[in-house]
Amino acid sequence: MFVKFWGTRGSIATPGNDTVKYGGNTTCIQVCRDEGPAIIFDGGTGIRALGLELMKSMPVEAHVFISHTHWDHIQGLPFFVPLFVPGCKVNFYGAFDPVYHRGLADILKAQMDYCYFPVREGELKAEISYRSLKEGETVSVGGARVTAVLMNHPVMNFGYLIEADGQKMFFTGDHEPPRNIYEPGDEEYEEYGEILQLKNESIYEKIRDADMIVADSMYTEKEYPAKVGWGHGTHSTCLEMARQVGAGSVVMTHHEPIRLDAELDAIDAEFRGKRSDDDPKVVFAREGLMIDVGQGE
Amino acid sequence: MTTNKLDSARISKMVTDMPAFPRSVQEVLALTNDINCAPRDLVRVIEHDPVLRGRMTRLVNSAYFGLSRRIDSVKEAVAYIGLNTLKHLAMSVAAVGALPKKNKAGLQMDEFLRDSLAVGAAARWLTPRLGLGTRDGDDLFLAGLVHKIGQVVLALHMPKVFRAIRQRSQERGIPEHQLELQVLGTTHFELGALVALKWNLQEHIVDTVRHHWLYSPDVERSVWMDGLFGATWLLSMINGTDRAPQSKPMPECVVALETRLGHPAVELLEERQSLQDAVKKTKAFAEIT
Repeated sequence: MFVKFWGTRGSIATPGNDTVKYGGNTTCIQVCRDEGPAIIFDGGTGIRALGLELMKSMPVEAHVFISHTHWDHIQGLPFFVPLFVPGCKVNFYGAFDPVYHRGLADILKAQMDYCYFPVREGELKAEISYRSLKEGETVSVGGARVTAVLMNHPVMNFGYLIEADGQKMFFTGDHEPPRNIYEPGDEEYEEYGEILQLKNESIYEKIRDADMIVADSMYTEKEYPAKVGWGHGTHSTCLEMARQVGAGSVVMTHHEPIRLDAELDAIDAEFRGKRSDDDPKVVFAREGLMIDVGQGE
Repeated sequence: MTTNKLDSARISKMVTDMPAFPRSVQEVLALTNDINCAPRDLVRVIEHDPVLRGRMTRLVNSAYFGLSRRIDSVKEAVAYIGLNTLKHLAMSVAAVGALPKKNKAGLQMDEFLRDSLAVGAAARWLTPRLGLGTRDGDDLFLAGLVHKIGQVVLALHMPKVFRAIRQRSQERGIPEHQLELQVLGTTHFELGALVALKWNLQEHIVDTVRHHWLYSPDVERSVWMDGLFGATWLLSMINGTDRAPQSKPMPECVVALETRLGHPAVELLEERQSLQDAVKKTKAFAEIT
Protein backbone atom coordinates (compact mmCIF):
# COMPACT_ATOMS: atom_id res chain seq x y z
CA MET A 1 0.00 0.00 0.00
CA PHE A 2 1.26 3.46 -0.91
CA VAL A 3 0.00 6.91 -0.04
CA LYS A 4 0.32 9.90 -2.30
CA PHE A 5 0.06 13.48 -1.10
CA TRP A 6 -1.97 15.83 -3.27
CA GLY A 7 -2.30 18.54 -0.63
CA THR A 8 -0.18 19.10 2.47
CA ARG A 9 -1.03 22.59 3.63
CA GLY A 10 -3.20 23.52 6.60
CA SER A 11 -5.90 26.20 6.85
CA ILE A 12 -5.57 27.82 3.42
CA ALA A 13 -3.90 27.21 0.09
CA THR A 14 -0.54 28.95 -0.22
CA PRO A 15 0.70 29.09 -3.80
CA GLY A 16 3.98 30.87 -4.44
CA ASN A 17 7.66 30.53 -5.11
CA ASP A 18 8.46 29.82 -1.47
CA THR A 19 6.04 26.90 -1.11
CA VAL A 20 6.78 25.03 -4.32
CA LYS A 21 8.73 22.19 -2.71
CA TYR A 22 6.25 21.16 -0.01
CA GLY A 23 3.23 22.44 -1.88
CA GLY A 24 0.50 24.99 -1.44
CA ASN A 25 -2.66 22.88 -1.78
CA THR A 26 -4.68 21.95 1.28
CA THR A 27 -5.13 18.44 2.60
CA CYS A 28 -5.80 15.56 0.24
CA ILE A 29 -4.24 12.11 0.51
CA GLN A 30 -4.72 9.22 -1.88
CA VAL A 31 -4.30 5.61 -0.83
CA CYS A 32 -2.80 3.68 -3.72
CA ARG A 33 -3.22 -0.09 -3.99
CA ASP A 34 -2.77 -2.57 -6.78
CA GLU A 35 -6.49 -2.98 -7.11
CA GLY A 36 -9.77 -1.68 -5.77
CA PRO A 37 -11.50 1.68 -5.99
CA ALA A 38 -9.81 4.96 -5.13
CA ILE A 39 -9.61 5.74 -1.42
CA ILE A 40 -9.06 9.39 -0.57
CA PHE A 41 -8.67 11.18 2.73
CA ASP A 42 -10.03 14.74 2.69
CA GLY A 43 -11.08 16.99 -0.14
CA GLY A 44 -8.87 20.04 0.26
CA THR A 45 -7.73 21.92 -2.82
CA GLY A 46 -5.35 19.10 -3.67
CA ILE A 47 -8.25 16.90 -4.74
CA ARG A 48 -8.69 18.91 -7.94
CA ALA A 49 -5.51 17.54 -9.50
CA LEU A 50 -6.23 14.07 -8.13
CA GLY A 51 -9.61 14.14 -9.84
CA LEU A 52 -7.97 14.86 -13.18
CA GLU A 53 -5.56 11.98 -12.64
CA LEU A 54 -8.38 9.57 -11.76
CA MET A 55 -10.28 10.57 -14.87
CA LYS A 56 -7.61 8.85 -16.96
CA SER A 57 -9.22 5.52 -16.00
CA MET A 58 -12.94 5.71 -16.46
CA PRO A 59 -15.29 5.05 -14.85
CA VAL A 60 -14.08 6.41 -11.54
CA GLU A 61 -15.20 4.89 -8.27
CA ALA A 62 -13.91 6.99 -5.37
CA HIS A 63 -14.44 6.67 -1.62
CA VAL A 64 -13.70 10.00 0.03
CA PHE A 65 -13.29 10.01 3.80
CA ILE A 66 -13.64 13.52 5.22
CA SER A 67 -11.90 14.04 8.56
CA HIS A 68 -13.99 17.13 9.29
CA THR A 69 -15.69 19.83 7.31
CA HIS A 70 -13.53 22.88 7.90
CA TRP A 71 -12.87 24.67 4.63
CA ASP A 72 -9.32 23.46 4.08
CA HIS A 73 -10.52 19.85 4.08
CA ILE A 74 -13.46 20.22 1.68
CA GLN A 75 -12.75 23.23 -0.49
CA GLY A 76 -11.52 21.25 -3.48
CA LEU A 77 -14.63 19.10 -3.74
CA PRO A 78 -16.57 21.35 -6.14
CA PHE A 79 -13.59 20.99 -8.51
CA PHE A 80 -13.34 17.20 -8.25
CA VAL A 81 -14.15 16.38 -11.86
CA PRO A 82 -15.51 12.81 -11.34
CA LEU A 83 -18.48 14.40 -9.55
CA PHE A 84 -19.60 15.95 -12.83
CA VAL A 85 -19.31 12.87 -14.99
CA PRO A 86 -22.12 10.34 -15.60
CA GLY A 87 -21.04 6.82 -14.76
CA CYS A 88 -18.65 7.85 -11.98
CA LYS A 89 -19.42 6.90 -8.39
CA VAL A 90 -18.30 9.01 -5.44
CA ASN A 91 -19.05 7.93 -1.88
CA PHE A 92 -18.45 10.37 0.97
CA TYR A 93 -17.93 9.42 4.59
CA GLY A 94 -17.54 11.66 7.65
CA ALA A 95 -18.81 12.75 11.02
CA PHE A 96 -22.26 14.03 11.96
CA ASP A 97 -22.24 17.61 13.27
CA PRO A 98 -23.99 17.48 16.65
CA VAL A 99 -23.91 21.25 17.10
CA TYR A 100 -25.79 22.12 13.94
CA HIS A 101 -27.57 18.74 13.86
CA ARG A 102 -26.40 18.20 10.32
CA GLY A 103 -25.16 15.13 8.56
CA LEU A 104 -22.35 15.09 6.06
CA ALA A 105 -24.72 15.41 3.11
CA ASP A 106 -26.22 18.67 4.38
CA ILE A 107 -22.83 20.20 5.04
CA LEU A 108 -21.26 19.28 1.73
CA LYS A 109 -24.34 20.22 -0.25
CA ALA A 110 -24.39 23.63 1.43
CA GLN A 111 -20.89 24.24 0.09
CA MET A 112 -22.40 24.10 -3.39
CA ASP A 113 -25.28 26.43 -2.69
CA TYR A 114 -25.80 28.75 -5.60
CA CYS A 115 -24.34 31.75 -3.77
CA TYR A 116 -21.01 29.93 -3.39
CA PHE A 117 -20.73 27.92 -6.59
CA PRO A 118 -22.44 28.04 -9.99
CA VAL A 119 -23.31 24.35 -10.15
CA ARG A 120 -25.63 23.01 -7.50
CA GLU A 121 -25.09 19.66 -5.89
CA GLY A 122 -28.31 18.40 -7.41
CA GLU A 123 -26.94 19.07 -10.89
CA LEU A 124 -23.90 16.82 -10.48
CA LYS A 125 -23.98 13.83 -12.79
CA ALA A 126 -22.04 11.22 -10.85
CA GLU A 127 -23.73 8.71 -8.59
CA ILE A 128 -23.09 10.23 -5.18
CA SER A 129 -23.71 8.87 -1.70
CA TYR A 130 -23.10 10.25 1.77
CA ARG A 131 -22.67 8.33 4.97
CA SER A 132 -22.28 9.85 8.43
CA LEU A 133 -20.09 7.53 10.45
CA LYS A 134 -20.05 6.83 14.16
CA GLU A 135 -16.92 6.63 16.24
CA GLY A 136 -15.27 3.25 15.79
CA GLU A 137 -17.36 2.34 12.75
CA THR A 138 -15.53 0.41 10.05
CA VAL A 139 -16.22 0.62 6.34
CA SER A 140 -15.01 -2.03 3.89
CA VAL A 141 -13.82 -0.73 0.54
CA GLY A 142 -12.44 -3.14 -2.01
CA GLY A 143 -10.84 -5.37 0.61
CA ALA A 144 -9.54 -2.46 2.71
CA ARG A 145 -11.01 -1.68 6.11
CA VAL A 146 -11.31 1.98 7.10
CA THR A 147 -12.16 2.77 10.74
CA ALA A 148 -13.22 6.15 12.13
CA VAL A 149 -11.33 7.27 15.24
CA LEU A 150 -12.56 10.31 17.17
CA MET A 151 -9.74 12.82 17.60
CA ASN A 152 -9.60 16.26 19.25
CA HIS A 153 -10.43 19.38 17.21
CA PRO A 154 -12.90 22.26 17.59
CA VAL A 155 -15.40 20.28 15.50
CA MET A 156 -15.99 16.55 15.40
CA ASN A 157 -12.95 15.20 13.59
CA PHE A 158 -12.35 11.62 12.61
CA GLY A 159 -8.92 10.20 12.07
CA TYR A 160 -9.01 7.18 9.77
CA LEU A 161 -7.19 3.91 10.18
CA ILE A 162 -6.86 1.95 6.97
CA GLU A 163 -5.94 -1.70 7.09
CA ALA A 164 -5.18 -3.31 3.76
CA ASP A 165 -2.74 -5.72 2.18
CA GLY A 166 -1.41 -6.68 5.62
CA GLN A 167 -0.51 -3.08 6.50
CA LYS A 168 -1.93 -0.31 8.69
CA MET A 169 -1.86 3.39 8.02
CA PHE A 170 -3.46 6.04 10.20
CA PHE A 171 -4.34 9.59 9.19
CA THR A 172 -5.16 11.89 12.12
CA GLY A 173 -7.07 14.59 10.25
CA ASP A 174 -6.69 17.68 12.42
CA HIS A 175 -5.72 16.80 15.96
CA GLU A 176 -4.44 18.55 19.03
CA PRO A 177 -3.54 16.20 21.85
CA PRO A 178 -6.05 17.14 24.56
CA ARG A 179 -4.54 19.03 27.48
CA ASN A 180 -5.33 19.09 31.14
CA ILE A 181 -7.78 21.93 31.74
CA TYR A 182 -6.65 22.18 35.36
CA GLU A 183 -3.38 23.46 36.77
CA PRO A 184 -1.00 21.33 38.81
CA GLY A 185 -2.11 21.78 42.39
CA ASP A 186 -5.81 22.00 41.49
CA GLU A 187 -7.93 19.40 43.22
CA GLU A 188 -9.15 18.03 39.89
CA TYR A 189 -5.78 17.95 38.13
CA GLU A 190 -5.00 14.28 38.69
CA GLU A 191 -8.57 13.11 38.03
CA TYR A 192 -8.62 14.95 34.70
CA GLY A 193 -5.17 13.63 33.87
CA GLU A 194 -6.49 10.09 34.27
CA ILE A 195 -9.42 10.86 31.99
CA LEU A 196 -7.03 12.18 29.35
CA GLN A 197 -4.89 9.10 29.67
CA LEU A 198 -7.95 6.96 28.98
CA LYS A 199 -8.93 9.17 26.04
CA ASN A 200 -5.46 8.91 24.53
CA GLU A 201 -5.37 5.19 25.16
CA SER A 202 -8.70 4.84 23.34
CA ILE A 203 -6.94 6.25 20.27
CA TYR A 204 -3.66 4.43 20.75
CA GLU A 205 -5.22 1.00 21.13
CA LYS A 206 -6.80 1.34 17.69
CA ILE A 207 -3.65 2.46 15.91
CA ARG A 208 -1.01 0.48 17.80
CA ASP A 209 1.75 -0.89 15.60
CA ALA A 210 0.59 1.11 12.62
CA ASP A 211 3.12 0.96 9.84
CA MET A 212 2.67 4.65 9.22
CA ILE A 213 0.97 7.63 10.83
CA VAL A 214 0.17 10.74 8.81
CA ALA A 215 -0.27 13.47 11.38
CA ASP A 216 -1.29 17.08 11.80
CA SER A 217 1.95 18.82 12.73
CA MET A 218 0.95 22.38 12.08
CA TYR A 219 3.04 24.13 14.71
CA THR A 220 6.50 24.16 16.15
CA GLU A 221 6.92 23.81 19.88
CA LYS A 222 7.80 27.48 20.01
CA GLU A 223 4.59 28.53 18.24
CA TYR A 224 2.26 26.25 20.14
CA PRO A 225 1.73 28.22 23.40
CA ALA A 226 0.02 30.96 21.39
CA LYS A 227 -2.18 28.39 19.61
CA VAL A 228 -3.47 26.25 22.45
CA GLY A 229 -7.00 25.10 21.78
CA TRP A 230 -6.82 25.77 18.04
CA GLY A 231 -6.97 22.05 17.40
CA HIS A 232 -3.58 21.21 15.91
CA GLY A 233 -0.52 19.30 16.94
CA THR A 234 3.17 20.07 16.81
CA HIS A 235 6.00 18.17 15.18
CA SER A 236 6.97 16.91 18.62
CA THR A 237 3.49 15.73 19.61
CA CYS A 238 3.21 13.84 16.34
CA LEU A 239 6.54 12.12 16.86
CA GLU A 240 5.51 11.30 20.43
CA MET A 241 2.24 9.74 19.25
CA ALA A 242 4.15 7.61 16.75
CA ARG A 243 6.55 6.54 19.49
CA GLN A 244 3.72 5.69 21.88
CA VAL A 245 2.05 3.32 19.44
CA GLY A 246 5.22 1.85 17.99
CA ALA A 247 4.59 3.16 14.49
CA GLY A 248 7.13 2.47 11.78
CA SER A 249 7.07 6.00 10.45
CA VAL A 250 5.36 9.33 10.94
CA VAL A 251 4.61 11.74 8.12
CA MET A 252 4.28 15.36 9.18
CA THR A 253 1.62 17.23 7.22
CA HIS A 254 -0.95 20.06 7.44
CA HIS A 255 1.90 22.53 7.31
CA GLU A 256 1.26 25.96 8.79
CA PRO A 257 0.44 28.33 5.87
CA ILE A 258 3.15 30.83 6.81
CA ARG A 259 5.79 28.09 6.74
CA LEU A 260 8.14 28.48 3.79
CA ASP A 261 10.06 25.66 2.09
CA ALA A 262 13.34 26.72 3.68
CA GLU A 263 11.79 26.64 7.14
CA LEU A 264 10.33 23.18 6.61
CA ASP A 265 13.74 22.02 5.37
CA ALA A 266 15.26 23.32 8.59
CA ILE A 267 12.68 21.62 10.80
CA ASP A 268 13.14 18.39 8.83
CA ALA A 269 16.90 18.58 9.41
CA GLU A 270 16.38 19.29 13.09
CA PHE A 271 14.20 16.21 13.54
CA ARG A 272 16.55 13.99 11.57
CA GLY A 273 19.34 15.20 13.81
CA LYS A 274 17.69 14.33 17.06
CA ARG A 275 16.08 11.06 15.99
CA SER A 276 17.30 7.99 17.84
CA ASP A 277 17.65 4.56 16.25
CA ASP A 278 14.50 3.33 17.98
CA ASP A 279 12.41 6.21 16.76
CA PRO A 280 9.97 5.98 13.88
CA LYS A 281 11.16 7.35 10.58
CA VAL A 282 10.16 10.98 10.15
CA VAL A 283 9.05 12.28 6.79
CA PHE A 284 7.79 15.75 5.91
CA ALA A 285 4.92 15.49 3.45
CA ARG A 286 5.22 17.36 0.21
CA GLU A 287 2.89 17.56 -2.74
CA GLY A 288 3.40 14.69 -5.18
CA LEU A 289 5.29 12.56 -2.66
CA MET A 290 4.36 8.88 -2.81
CA ILE A 291 5.38 6.72 0.12
CA ASP A 292 5.41 2.97 0.61
CA VAL A 293 3.46 2.50 3.85
CA GLY A 294 5.54 -0.49 4.87
CA GLN A 295 8.87 1.18 4.17
CA GLY A 296 8.05 4.68 5.33
CA GLU A 297 9.84 6.16 2.37
CA MET B 1 -62.58 44.63 23.09
CA THR B 2 -62.10 46.85 26.09
CA THR B 3 -58.78 48.50 26.46
CA ASN B 4 -56.57 47.77 29.41
CA LYS B 5 -53.56 49.95 28.84
CA LEU B 6 -50.48 48.91 30.73
CA ASP B 7 -48.47 51.56 32.50
CA SER B 8 -44.75 51.21 33.02
CA ALA B 9 -45.11 50.15 36.67
CA ARG B 10 -47.44 47.30 35.73
CA ILE B 11 -45.20 46.18 32.91
CA SER B 12 -42.22 46.27 35.21
CA LYS B 13 -43.99 44.12 37.79
CA MET B 14 -45.15 41.62 35.18
CA VAL B 15 -41.63 41.25 33.85
CA THR B 16 -40.12 41.08 37.32
CA ASP B 17 -42.54 38.32 38.26
CA MET B 18 -41.38 36.15 35.38
CA PRO B 19 -39.35 33.14 36.48
CA ALA B 20 -35.68 33.93 36.68
CA PHE B 21 -33.36 32.58 34.08
CA PRO B 22 -31.48 29.88 35.98
CA ARG B 23 -28.19 31.29 37.21
CA SER B 24 -26.26 28.39 35.75
CA VAL B 25 -27.80 29.09 32.34
CA GLN B 26 -26.79 32.72 32.55
CA GLU B 27 -23.28 31.65 33.44
CA VAL B 28 -23.14 29.17 30.57
CA LEU B 29 -24.31 31.82 28.13
CA ALA B 30 -21.75 34.30 29.43
CA LEU B 31 -18.96 31.74 29.23
CA THR B 32 -19.91 30.48 25.80
CA ASN B 33 -19.87 34.04 24.49
CA ASP B 34 -16.31 34.48 25.72
CA ILE B 35 -13.88 33.03 23.21
CA ASN B 36 -11.25 32.87 25.93
CA CYS B 37 -13.42 31.21 28.57
CA ALA B 38 -11.48 28.84 30.80
CA PRO B 39 -12.62 25.24 30.18
CA ARG B 40 -12.61 24.45 33.86
CA ASP B 41 -15.05 27.33 34.54
CA LEU B 42 -17.52 25.86 32.07
CA VAL B 43 -17.10 22.42 33.59
CA ARG B 44 -17.67 23.85 37.08
CA VAL B 45 -20.89 25.61 36.10
CA ILE B 46 -22.35 22.55 34.38
CA GLU B 47 -21.27 20.16 37.11
CA HIS B 48 -22.85 22.30 39.82
CA ASP B 49 -26.28 22.30 38.18
CA PRO B 50 -27.69 18.77 38.43
CA VAL B 51 -30.36 19.39 35.80
CA LEU B 52 -27.95 20.84 33.27
CA ARG B 53 -25.38 18.18 34.05
CA GLY B 54 -27.96 15.45 33.50
CA ARG B 55 -29.09 16.94 30.21
CA MET B 56 -25.54 17.25 28.93
CA THR B 57 -24.47 13.72 29.77
CA ARG B 58 -27.74 12.35 28.35
CA LEU B 59 -27.06 14.17 25.11
CA VAL B 60 -23.43 13.12 24.83
CA ASN B 61 -24.45 9.50 25.41
CA SER B 62 -27.26 9.66 22.86
CA ALA B 63 -27.26 8.34 19.33
CA TYR B 64 -26.40 11.87 18.19
CA PHE B 65 -22.79 11.20 19.08
CA GLY B 66 -22.76 7.45 18.78
CA LEU B 67 -19.72 7.26 21.01
CA SER B 68 -18.32 3.83 21.57
CA ARG B 69 -18.04 4.27 25.34
CA ARG B 70 -20.28 5.72 28.00
CA ILE B 71 -19.53 9.24 29.25
CA ASP B 72 -20.33 9.63 32.94
CA SER B 73 -19.11 13.11 33.76
CA VAL B 74 -18.79 16.55 32.28
CA LYS B 75 -15.01 16.29 32.54
CA GLU B 76 -15.07 13.15 30.42
CA ALA B 77 -17.31 14.90 27.93
CA VAL B 78 -14.74 17.69 27.52
CA ALA B 79 -11.96 15.18 27.04
CA TYR B 80 -13.86 13.10 24.49
CA ILE B 81 -15.85 15.51 22.38
CA GLY B 82 -13.70 18.59 22.97
CA LEU B 83 -14.33 21.88 24.66
CA ASN B 84 -15.61 23.73 21.62
CA THR B 85 -18.30 21.20 20.78
CA LEU B 86 -19.31 21.03 24.44
CA LYS B 87 -19.56 24.83 24.63
CA HIS B 88 -21.96 25.03 21.71
CA LEU B 89 -24.05 22.16 22.99
CA ALA B 90 -24.16 23.62 26.49
CA MET B 91 -25.49 26.85 25.11
CA SER B 92 -28.32 25.10 23.27
CA VAL B 93 -29.13 22.74 26.12
CA ALA B 94 -29.10 25.53 28.68
CA ALA B 95 -31.28 27.83 26.61
CA VAL B 96 -33.88 25.15 25.83
CA GLY B 97 -34.00 24.15 29.49
CA ALA B 98 -34.54 27.72 30.62
CA LEU B 99 -37.89 28.20 28.92
CA PRO B 100 -40.81 27.98 31.37
CA LYS B 101 -42.63 24.67 31.19
CA LYS B 102 -45.95 25.61 32.80
CA ASN B 103 -48.45 28.43 32.94
CA LYS B 104 -51.95 28.77 34.26
CA ALA B 105 -53.52 30.59 31.40
CA GLY B 106 -54.32 28.60 28.36
CA LEU B 107 -51.04 29.00 26.52
CA GLN B 108 -50.13 25.48 25.47
CA MET B 109 -46.55 25.37 26.65
CA ASP B 110 -45.63 22.21 24.77
CA GLU B 111 -46.80 23.87 21.59
CA PHE B 112 -45.10 27.11 22.57
CA LEU B 113 -41.83 25.27 23.12
CA ARG B 114 -42.15 23.41 19.83
CA ASP B 115 -42.83 26.65 17.96
CA SER B 116 -39.95 28.40 19.67
CA LEU B 117 -37.60 25.53 18.90
CA ALA B 118 -38.73 25.54 15.28
CA VAL B 119 -38.00 29.25 14.91
CA GLY B 120 -34.66 28.84 16.71
CA ALA B 121 -33.75 25.97 14.40
CA ALA B 122 -34.83 27.88 11.29
CA ALA B 123 -32.84 30.92 12.41
CA ARG B 124 -29.77 28.75 12.91
CA TRP B 125 -30.37 27.13 9.52
CA LEU B 126 -30.33 30.58 7.96
CA THR B 127 -27.05 31.53 9.60
CA PRO B 128 -24.62 30.39 6.89
CA ARG B 129 -26.97 31.74 4.23
CA LEU B 130 -26.59 35.15 5.83
CA GLY B 131 -22.83 34.79 5.82
CA LEU B 132 -22.68 34.36 9.58
CA GLY B 133 -20.61 31.94 11.64
CA THR B 134 -21.42 29.38 14.31
CA ARG B 135 -21.30 31.86 17.19
CA ASP B 136 -23.86 34.09 15.49
CA GLY B 137 -25.92 30.97 14.82
CA ASP B 138 -26.02 30.33 18.54
CA ASP B 139 -27.24 33.88 19.13
CA LEU B 140 -29.91 33.51 16.46
CA PHE B 141 -30.99 30.20 17.93
CA LEU B 142 -31.35 31.83 21.34
CA ALA B 143 -33.25 34.78 19.88
CA GLY B 144 -35.60 32.32 18.19
CA LEU B 145 -36.17 30.46 21.42
CA VAL B 146 -37.17 33.56 23.36
CA HIS B 147 -38.76 35.63 20.60
CA LYS B 148 -42.29 35.02 21.83
CA ILE B 149 -41.57 34.98 25.53
CA GLY B 150 -43.64 38.16 25.79
CA GLN B 151 -46.71 36.03 25.11
CA VAL B 152 -45.89 33.99 28.20
CA VAL B 153 -45.84 37.22 30.23
CA LEU B 154 -49.33 38.05 29.01
CA ALA B 155 -50.62 34.52 29.48
CA LEU B 156 -49.36 34.45 33.04
CA HIS B 157 -50.49 37.90 34.15
CA MET B 158 -53.47 38.76 31.97
CA PRO B 159 -54.90 35.40 30.93
CA LYS B 160 -58.34 36.71 29.98
CA VAL B 161 -56.96 39.51 27.86
CA PHE B 162 -54.44 37.15 26.31
CA ARG B 163 -57.16 34.67 25.33
CA ALA B 164 -59.42 37.40 24.01
CA ILE B 165 -56.68 38.85 21.83
CA ARG B 166 -55.77 35.45 20.47
CA GLN B 167 -59.38 34.63 19.71
CA ARG B 168 -59.99 37.97 18.01
CA SER B 169 -56.81 37.58 16.02
CA GLN B 170 -57.83 34.16 14.77
CA GLU B 171 -61.42 35.21 14.00
CA ARG B 172 -60.56 38.35 12.12
CA GLY B 173 -57.08 37.66 10.86
CA ILE B 174 -55.70 40.68 12.62
CA PRO B 175 -52.12 40.32 13.80
CA GLU B 176 -51.90 39.78 17.54
CA HIS B 177 -49.34 42.52 17.99
CA GLN B 178 -51.72 45.05 16.44
CA LEU B 179 -54.50 44.04 18.82
CA GLU B 180 -52.07 44.11 21.74
CA LEU B 181 -51.13 47.64 20.83
CA GLN B 182 -54.76 48.70 20.68
CA VAL B 183 -55.75 47.01 23.92
CA LEU B 184 -52.63 47.14 26.04
CA GLY B 185 -50.59 49.92 24.52
CA THR B 186 -47.66 47.58 24.08
CA THR B 187 -46.83 44.35 22.24
CA HIS B 188 -45.55 40.94 23.16
CA PHE B 189 -42.41 41.85 21.20
CA GLU B 190 -41.75 44.71 23.63
CA LEU B 191 -42.59 42.59 26.66
CA GLY B 192 -40.33 39.83 25.33
CA ALA B 193 -37.49 42.28 24.94
CA LEU B 194 -37.94 43.38 28.56
CA VAL B 195 -37.83 39.77 29.72
CA ALA B 196 -34.69 39.18 27.66
CA LEU B 197 -33.21 42.26 29.29
CA LYS B 198 -34.11 40.97 32.74
CA TRP B 199 -32.44 37.69 31.85
CA ASN B 200 -29.26 39.58 30.98
CA LEU B 201 -29.27 38.36 27.41
CA GLN B 202 -26.99 40.32 25.13
CA GLU B 203 -28.19 43.67 23.87
CA HIS B 204 -28.39 42.61 20.23
CA ILE B 205 -30.62 39.68 21.19
CA VAL B 206 -32.88 42.00 23.19
CA ASP B 207 -33.10 44.36 20.21
CA THR B 208 -33.78 41.45 17.86
CA VAL B 209 -36.70 40.20 19.95
CA ARG B 210 -38.09 43.74 20.02
CA HIS B 211 -37.70 44.71 16.37
CA HIS B 212 -37.38 41.64 14.16
CA TRP B 213 -40.96 41.60 12.86
CA LEU B 214 -41.75 45.31 12.86
CA TYR B 215 -39.88 47.69 10.62
CA SER B 216 -39.17 51.16 11.88
CA PRO B 217 -37.19 53.82 9.99
CA ASP B 218 -35.68 54.81 13.33
CA VAL B 219 -34.11 51.40 13.92
CA GLU B 220 -31.16 50.17 11.90
CA ARG B 221 -31.83 46.59 10.86
CA SER B 222 -29.24 44.17 12.22
CA VAL B 223 -28.37 40.85 10.64
CA TRP B 224 -29.90 39.14 13.69
CA MET B 225 -33.20 40.98 13.19
CA ASP B 226 -33.22 39.98 9.54
CA GLY B 227 -32.30 36.41 10.44
CA LEU B 228 -35.05 36.03 13.02
CA PHE B 229 -37.53 37.69 10.72
CA GLY B 230 -36.50 35.35 7.93
CA ALA B 231 -36.89 32.30 10.14
CA THR B 232 -40.36 33.32 11.27
CA TRP B 233 -41.43 34.20 7.76
CA LEU B 234 -40.06 30.96 6.27
CA LEU B 235 -41.91 28.82 8.76
CA SER B 236 -45.13 30.71 8.19
CA MET B 237 -44.71 30.14 4.45
CA ILE B 238 -44.01 26.45 4.85
CA ASN B 239 -46.58 25.70 7.53
CA GLY B 240 -49.23 27.87 5.94
CA THR B 241 -50.12 29.40 9.28
CA ASP B 242 -48.33 31.30 11.92
CA ARG B 243 -50.54 32.04 14.86
CA ALA B 244 -48.67 35.02 16.17
CA PRO B 245 -48.22 37.40 13.31
CA GLN B 246 -51.08 36.17 11.10
CA SER B 247 -50.08 38.97 8.89
CA LYS B 248 -48.23 39.68 5.77
CA PRO B 249 -44.67 40.59 6.59
CA MET B 250 -43.79 44.24 6.31
CA PRO B 251 -42.27 44.82 2.84
CA GLU B 252 -39.34 46.72 4.37
CA CYS B 253 -38.43 43.65 6.44
CA VAL B 254 -38.50 41.46 3.34
CA VAL B 255 -36.31 43.91 1.43
CA ALA B 256 -33.81 43.99 4.30
CA LEU B 257 -33.66 40.19 4.37
CA GLU B 258 -33.27 39.92 0.60
CA THR B 259 -30.47 42.48 0.65
CA ARG B 260 -28.64 40.30 3.16
CA LEU B 261 -29.27 37.14 1.18
CA GLY B 262 -28.43 38.62 -2.19
CA HIS B 263 -31.43 36.93 -3.77
CA PRO B 264 -35.23 36.82 -3.46
CA ALA B 265 -36.31 35.33 -0.15
CA VAL B 266 -38.68 32.91 -1.89
CA GLU B 267 -35.66 31.09 -3.30
CA LEU B 268 -35.07 29.81 0.22
CA LEU B 269 -38.22 27.75 -0.19
CA GLU B 270 -36.40 25.63 -2.74
CA GLU B 271 -34.49 24.26 0.24
CA ARG B 272 -37.67 23.52 2.14
CA GLN B 273 -36.69 19.90 2.81
CA SER B 274 -33.35 20.88 4.28
CA LEU B 275 -35.03 23.41 6.57
CA GLN B 276 -37.69 20.96 7.67
CA ASP B 277 -34.99 18.40 8.42
CA ALA B 278 -33.12 20.97 10.51
CA VAL B 279 -36.27 21.79 12.48
CA LYS B 280 -37.03 18.12 12.99
CA LYS B 281 -33.53 17.40 14.23
CA THR B 282 -33.62 20.30 16.65
CA LYS B 283 -36.89 19.06 18.11
CA ALA B 284 -35.39 15.60 18.48
CA PHE B 285 -32.37 17.18 20.16
CA ALA B 286 -34.64 18.95 22.64
CA GLU B 287 -36.44 15.72 23.42
CA ILE B 288 -33.15 14.03 24.28
CA THR B 289 -32.14 16.79 26.62
